[in-house]
Amino acid sequence: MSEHESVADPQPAVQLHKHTVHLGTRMIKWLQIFPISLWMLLLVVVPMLYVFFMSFMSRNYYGGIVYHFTLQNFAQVFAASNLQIYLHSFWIGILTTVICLLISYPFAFFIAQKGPVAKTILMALVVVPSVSNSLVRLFGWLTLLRKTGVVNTLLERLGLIHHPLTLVYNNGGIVLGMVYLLLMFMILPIFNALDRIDHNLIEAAEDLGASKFQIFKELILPLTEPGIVAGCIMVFIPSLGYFFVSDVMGGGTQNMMGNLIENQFQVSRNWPLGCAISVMLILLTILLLVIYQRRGGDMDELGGY
Amino acid sequence: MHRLKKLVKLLLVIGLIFSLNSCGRATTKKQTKVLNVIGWSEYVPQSVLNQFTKETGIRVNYTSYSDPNQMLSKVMSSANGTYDMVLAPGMYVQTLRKLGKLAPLNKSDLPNYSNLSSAALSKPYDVHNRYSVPYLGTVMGIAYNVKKVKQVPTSYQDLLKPEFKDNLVTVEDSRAVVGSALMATGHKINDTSQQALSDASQYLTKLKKNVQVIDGDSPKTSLINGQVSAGLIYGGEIALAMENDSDIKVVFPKQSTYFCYDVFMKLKKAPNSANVEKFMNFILRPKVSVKVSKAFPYCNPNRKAQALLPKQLKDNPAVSVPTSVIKRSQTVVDLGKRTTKIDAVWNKFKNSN
Repeated sequence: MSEHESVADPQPAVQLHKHTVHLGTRMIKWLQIFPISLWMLLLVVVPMLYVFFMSFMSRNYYGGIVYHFTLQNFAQVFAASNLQIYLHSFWIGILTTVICLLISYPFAFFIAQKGPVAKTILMALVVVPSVSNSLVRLFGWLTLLRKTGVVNTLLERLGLIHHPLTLVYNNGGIVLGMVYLLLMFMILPIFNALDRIDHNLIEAAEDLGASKFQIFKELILPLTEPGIVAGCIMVFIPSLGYFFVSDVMGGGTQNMMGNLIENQFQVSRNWPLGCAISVMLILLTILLLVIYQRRGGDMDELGGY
Repeated sequence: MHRLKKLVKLLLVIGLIFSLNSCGRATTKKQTKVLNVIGWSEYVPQSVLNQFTKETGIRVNYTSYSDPNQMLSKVMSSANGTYDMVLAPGMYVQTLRKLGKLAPLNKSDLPNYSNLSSAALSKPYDVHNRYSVPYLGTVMGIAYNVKKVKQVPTSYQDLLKPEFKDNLVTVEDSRAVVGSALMATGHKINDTSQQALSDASQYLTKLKKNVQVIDGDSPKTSLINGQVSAGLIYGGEIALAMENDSDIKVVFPKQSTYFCYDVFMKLKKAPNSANVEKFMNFILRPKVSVKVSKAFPYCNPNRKAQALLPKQLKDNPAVSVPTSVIKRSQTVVDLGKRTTKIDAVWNKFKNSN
């Protein structure tokens, strides 16, 4: 790779063969982006188009697709019984996002104050748990929190409670699972934003007599806003789709948007409806990204880790 | 992190491509020493498959699924001849026949067929027994923990009592649960009339207040670890829970119960057609059937095997379901388009709070 780059360097001797070099550089660039383009095309663009196409098809009752154009799936997306699920999902998603934000900001702030070695170690600790399977980690929470779990047993032994508390298999359990799995995606962008703040700015503000609160409100908060928004998007969107969290932590008794989509494929054999709901979810994501970008958000912030 | 994830994804995709490749090759070779089966996961003991291979030299390729709908989409989306045999709930005899996928069995190659109890035959999905061989039967019973239940529940209505608030588990199976609700309200399990479904839905709305867990993979777990005190779950799961905890008992509702056989079927244009009957006949051997029952304690339809079952299975009503219960049980049939009505009731149950 370094050899190719040196060829591309604008050296005076090369100027004579400008045209050929240009062609060579372009060839190399093509070769460089070809694999990732193929990857994106086959695994992102084609499936997305397929989902979009399917969302306008009809179904038969054995899980098959009838290639007949219809808008009925989109009418069904907005059926009253489904709206209730969306409201519930949004509520869980918003709650998850707010709790993640409240935990992440002080934590990221704390890490950002540390020296380079401590920073690396602490950030590694944030990321390391995600190496293990998330389902396994959720089942770990069940072991801790169910009626006969560690926490309830301990509280009962200490005489603090007389009846076991219902800590999982309810909405609280779902939010806990979501926060636990998605926290990392809030901490990382906020930390990045905090870490990039030029310390001279803070010193200047101090010199000019700003109070600690003013520094935070007028300086740090606006500068970290892109990180906050990026984190919120990266927590909120997946929380709508993580159906397994509500299956495991909610005991499968609470349907969320992700479960609704999953059900169309696994139980109701209604692929076109599943695709139609997915399309709506994709559109919602795009909408949020557009708002984010309009407000000056950096797209790299969302995927640069 | 993301780079790692991408790498893992890439490896998965490569693995997938290679596995698809090998699938294709296996089917094009058309060996007669192979049998391609698609069936429930965790349902046929590996030791039984190995014994079959040892005796006949026929290698069994077992593709597993955890939801019959997955089986259906796999069978429908792959080329004819990919699978020789299906193991699925009885109602799929109707489904697969309607889709033109089943071949009639060669009964003369099935001398052991006579071992089957007549109670397991001539079911509505295969009245003349031309397409299916029952493997094991699944009953839905009420499992309860004697130490946690004040009064033993004896009917579906008992499960609505306030003492079960947040204390029940049900299976994640729309036909079984909605079917039970239909029977609880005095209707037939395959009734999709408006009256019947609205009664069933009302029953389920009340039941939902008591349901803490809906678990399709292992409903016994929440019963064993004490999260719930009772549940409406499959007989085999109850039997396994009883092995784990002697406080867990089984009772069958005094109304009708859900009962359904999983059956073997032969697919049309099966390249290893003769091996299908060989395998079925092997499974129907009493000793083999007992081996199956020991590993997966569901209701055994093999009369001769029933006599050979170990005492603890023979005496366990969750495994050896009493004749009186089987007599008043009902089985699900393929409802075609009307399945969506059942789905609607099921979804309402899942979504209500």
